[in-house]
Amino acid sequence: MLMLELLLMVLSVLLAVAFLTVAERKTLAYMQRRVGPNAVGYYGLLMAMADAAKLLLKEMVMPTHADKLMLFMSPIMSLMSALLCWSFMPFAPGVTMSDHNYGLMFMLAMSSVGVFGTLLAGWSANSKYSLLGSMRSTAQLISYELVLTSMVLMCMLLSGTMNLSKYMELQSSVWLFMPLLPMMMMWFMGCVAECARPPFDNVEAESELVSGHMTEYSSSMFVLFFLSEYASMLFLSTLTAMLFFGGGTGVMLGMKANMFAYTYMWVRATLPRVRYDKLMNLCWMMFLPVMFGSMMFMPVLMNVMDGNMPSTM
Amino acid sequence: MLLFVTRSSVRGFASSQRVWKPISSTVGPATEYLTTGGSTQSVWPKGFRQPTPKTWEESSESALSKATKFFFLNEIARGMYICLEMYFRSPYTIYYPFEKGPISPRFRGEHALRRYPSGEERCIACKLCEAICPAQAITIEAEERIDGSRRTYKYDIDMTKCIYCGYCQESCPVDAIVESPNVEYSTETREELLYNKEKLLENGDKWEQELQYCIDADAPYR
Repeated sequence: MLMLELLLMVLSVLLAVAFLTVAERKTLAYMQRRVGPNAVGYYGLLMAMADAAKLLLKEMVMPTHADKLMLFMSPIMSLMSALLCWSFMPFAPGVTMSDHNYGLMFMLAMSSVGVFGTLLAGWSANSKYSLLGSMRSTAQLISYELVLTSMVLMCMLLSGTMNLSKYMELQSSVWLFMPLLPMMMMWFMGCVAECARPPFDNVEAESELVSGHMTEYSSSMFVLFFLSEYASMLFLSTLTAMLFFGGGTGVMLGMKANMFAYTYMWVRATLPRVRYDKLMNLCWMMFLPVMFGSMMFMPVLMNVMDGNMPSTM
Repeated sequence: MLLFVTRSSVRGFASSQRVWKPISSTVGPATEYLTTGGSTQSVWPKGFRQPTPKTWEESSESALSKATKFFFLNEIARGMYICLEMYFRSPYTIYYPFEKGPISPRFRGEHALRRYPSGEERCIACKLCEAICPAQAITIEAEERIDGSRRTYKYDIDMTKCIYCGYCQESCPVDAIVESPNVEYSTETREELLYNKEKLLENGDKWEQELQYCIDADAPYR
């Protein structure tokens, strides 16, 4: 039964990811006053299937002297970590794969495991471009994970629980983006960087660099990386809706999550890529100090939200 | 008299030096959206050039205002708004095989050999086109026909060599070789692009009406 549930969840996530790629192409196109894919299926909706079929039917090029096992394992690790994150997500009150008391911690752990996929992909391919790309992206992912982690810690402090179902119920009075607004914006930027999406896509800067740790990957192994990238993007936008915008039931949660997924594309259409040192500085010199500074402010906020206003004390 | 000369010379100098003028001083509200109309002397549309940003000495903006703009991502928000505005506007896309953009009557596409209304081919084998062709794509062999007129028996154009400069069309004294507005003649093999006289005459017969329209449209400028 659990396996069936798991399969259902994974399939829905993968299907959502497939249509997210079409949505992204259409959104970017309309923002550039183009129409994007419109020939396959109605309004190009089946473009995802066509793309998937094309990628899967392509030849898989195996680099010589590559560490074959690691080369196969790393995209699987990336995808698994991106998919397993979803298992603690409450899609509605009580509707979750695992209603665990440390669900939020598990999510953090799982999203961190994804970095290993990136790192090992670069190492195992026996190519200096892959290696350099993976170094670049690992540094970026680890740095921005700190931003996300400290933000989640702040949310945990404020809500007093690591159980996401309880966390969702606690937001019935106030959505947490209100007390945490500046941090929430930092969180979203961190999410964009963590997914290696433009403007922080130095991992895979198509126009300047070869495609980072994915350089030596082709056909179905590349598909796995691709899926993991978009799955984590969807996951982080759902988590944003969950952590700061009160989650929701089924469709409501989906709509909130879609708004953030849309914002990812919107930002991509708007902003040019940032320089790598600026990217690192943004994390270490701006986001993290401000995060830690505001963490000292948290006890006050907790007190206020408990109703212990200074006048009533 | 002297004054007049000085004034006109000054005005001429001023108008030649200042290619674009501040809108407020030169045009009223009626001509506010006057386009340049191909001339460098006229007024650029409103908002064409942004004013140069002020340096820290010149601007009177307070540090608080600047900090607010910085922390609320003012510039990014404005950029994103523009993107959103574009998102809701109609795309510029022309659905190509079904819709086509306008082309000039001087458009240089696939070649064609034209005929006189009597059906007699125009080409008199003067070989001017062959001589002028910069890509040397044209090969002509000529001989006397039975009725004594000078005609080609071979007129080949290597379309893979041709650079579509239109010199052959310009050089032709009898308007025989022309470039039609057709561009949709892609082939699956290279050999199909080595055109011979039959193919060119066939093109001419097929496109005669279009060619006539193009020539008529371009006639006032020749």
